[in-house]
Amino acid sequence: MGKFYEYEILVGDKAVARGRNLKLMLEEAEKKYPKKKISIRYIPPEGILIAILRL
Amino acid sequence: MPSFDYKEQDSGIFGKISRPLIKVDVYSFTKDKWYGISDVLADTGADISILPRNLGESLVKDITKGKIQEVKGIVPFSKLTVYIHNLKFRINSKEFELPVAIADSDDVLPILGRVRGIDLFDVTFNKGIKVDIEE
Repeated sequence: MGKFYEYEILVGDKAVARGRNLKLMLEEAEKKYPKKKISIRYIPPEGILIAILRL
Repeated sequence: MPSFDYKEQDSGIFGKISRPLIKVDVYSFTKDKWYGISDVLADTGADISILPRNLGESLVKDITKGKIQEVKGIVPFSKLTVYIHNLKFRINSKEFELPVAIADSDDVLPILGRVRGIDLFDVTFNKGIKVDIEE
């Protein structure tokens, strides 16, 4: 992990793209693997995670 | 019964830290298909589930059409603008619809919170090793 978030595109368990432009990466993965299920992984920046959310 | 191993990630204080990250499927209304989302934080401290902006934009046509809200955490004076949408999630074969806060930022990790999310399941956090999720 680095200082900034990134997304990773997975086809099965295999990472096929990594970067910040999720829309472009998804479009390219869908063209390349039209019949495969695609997953998205959010890679958070390094840090302490304290997630308490309230509306 | 789905079971997810805790995943190790980098931490500024601990060096490495294991987190209860699970995998869910989410339905895209714009693409009419399911995507998997890996590394979703199972968070009993979150009232609502949340997704970062770019991810939300791949699921709904216009995120700003959702009800606008401000979300607070533990940081004083800090607020996050979100848009509330009803989305379809799936864990294993169980589909469910839940309110999801799509953040107006990508500096927010995907979280499965309690309302109509985690609270639908029996969830066991096993000693920082794995998360078991039962219907």
